[in-house]
Amino acid sequence: MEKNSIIECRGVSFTYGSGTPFEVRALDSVDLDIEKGLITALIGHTGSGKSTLIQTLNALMKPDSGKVLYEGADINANKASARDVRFKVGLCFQYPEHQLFESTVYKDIAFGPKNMGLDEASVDRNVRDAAALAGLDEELFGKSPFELSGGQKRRAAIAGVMAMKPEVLILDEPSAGLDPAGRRDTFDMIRRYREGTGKTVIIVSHSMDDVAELADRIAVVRRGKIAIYGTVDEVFSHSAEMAGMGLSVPEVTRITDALRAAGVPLKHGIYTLSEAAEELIRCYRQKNGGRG
Amino acid sequence: MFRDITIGRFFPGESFVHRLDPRSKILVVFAALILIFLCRNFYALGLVFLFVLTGVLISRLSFKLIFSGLKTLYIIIAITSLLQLFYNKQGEVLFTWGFFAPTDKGVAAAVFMAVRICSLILISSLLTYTTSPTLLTDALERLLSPLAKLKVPVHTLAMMMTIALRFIPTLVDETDRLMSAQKARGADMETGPLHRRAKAMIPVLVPLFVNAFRRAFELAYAMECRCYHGGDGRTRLRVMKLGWRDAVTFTATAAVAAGIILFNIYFEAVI
Repeated sequence: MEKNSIIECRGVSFTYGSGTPFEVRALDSVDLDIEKGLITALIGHTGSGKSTLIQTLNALMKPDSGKVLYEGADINANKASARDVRFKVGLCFQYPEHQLFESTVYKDIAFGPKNMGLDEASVDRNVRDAAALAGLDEELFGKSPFELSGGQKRRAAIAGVMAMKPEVLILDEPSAGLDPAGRRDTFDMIRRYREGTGKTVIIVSHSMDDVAELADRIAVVRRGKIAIYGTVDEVFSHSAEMAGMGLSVPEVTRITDALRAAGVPLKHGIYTLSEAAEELIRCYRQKNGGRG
Repeated sequence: MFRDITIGRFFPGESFVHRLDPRSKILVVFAALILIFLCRNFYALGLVFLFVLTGVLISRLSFKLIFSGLKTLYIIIAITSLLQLFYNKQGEVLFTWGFFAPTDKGVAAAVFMAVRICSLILISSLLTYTTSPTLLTDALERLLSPLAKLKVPVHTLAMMMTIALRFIPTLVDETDRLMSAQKARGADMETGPLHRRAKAMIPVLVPLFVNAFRRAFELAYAMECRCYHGGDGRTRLRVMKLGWRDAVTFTATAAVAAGIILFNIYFEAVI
């Protein structure tokens, strides 16, 4: 099958603090294709190199060796291309609410689009679109971003990146430190963005449950390399290998696997709660139907 | 960009220098700083430079690292030495090139200044490279504890310094992260005239301050939750004890001091 890649990494390596005793090889010749229009999840432990990897994707970090290609062109070719790619590949850091700075929510979301040099009308449209995706009421526009609740702050900050309408949206641990409701809101927002615009999304996470719920493709990052890459089914079928890396399949998969082992005829490969619910209902009906 | 700054950083190790009592290290560095200024000729300066180099050698820190710390100060060293070449009019003129007429004494003074500044930087960076900031302030607090009798709040000052030092790397990392985050939103902090670049720092500085205050409050709560109430009646986790290493170091320092005084008396002054 012909792959339609939007970002390609070719042998990307990166070392922190080379020449000091703190030298750390964060990326070790990474090859990775990000497919257009899909949600790709990068999973791995703290310090596996996933955060470094995403910063090389929008030229915030220049790889020591190797190339990052955006639609086939080297993003580090020159200074202009490195700045251009930041508008095409929008990166939202971990705890993005800590980067809010403007006097009002509206101005903060407009920071990115304004830097793109858009005219006032387009900036306004982008801000309103992003706020709608984020589920932020227009009443909040005049408020200081520091007055919002934790979940709202997070969504306002993500909206600040979405407002640039990037072709690829990268989110580093979008649900870190949020309560279940805040987490759900954030995921709904990401889903709405992808469905509404058809654009590519990359999320970094270490929660298998998050990843199973959202992603089309999973890349497992380990010690600066891509250890496993594939569809959700493909990756979670390597459950033994993942356990060896200290990563596990989603909680719901473990429960359904245990139920199957106990004799409940559930199908293989259940990764989300809704799938599990459907399958359980099917089994229940089948059992009752058999009796009746 | 900030990750590469090594000045004032601590590099853990197990060497003789690392294991010295931090109090003796502070005293010896203080003495060495005075000695460096007392040197009047190359013999004395050579002796103290040798002393500093020995310290660097036995600390087992890589030379590359030590000299990368000097890198940022090369300009200062160069300017100080050049000034000597231009303005020192004593002795014989070596050659003239326009108004630039260095004398033999001027050249000697230039070299002397360069070695002196290098020694100053090396010995003080040796202290911070081999002593953790917590130990350093702890030692300072103990050295200054007699002042507590004069109602100087030594413990509070030391605690403030510990906290300040503790948060420098955090703030550096945070600045780095904020700059990346705002650059990812298209902020341009590297090009354009100075006033525009200064304005471009606002998106970094505002959240930096907000977060610093947030962290300060969190830290204050955490300290209160652990019943912190200042220095009165507090016991210590690490009890500092002087040992043979400190005796050796003090003896060596005393020997160097004696040597410098002798050299200063018996040889002609350069500066």
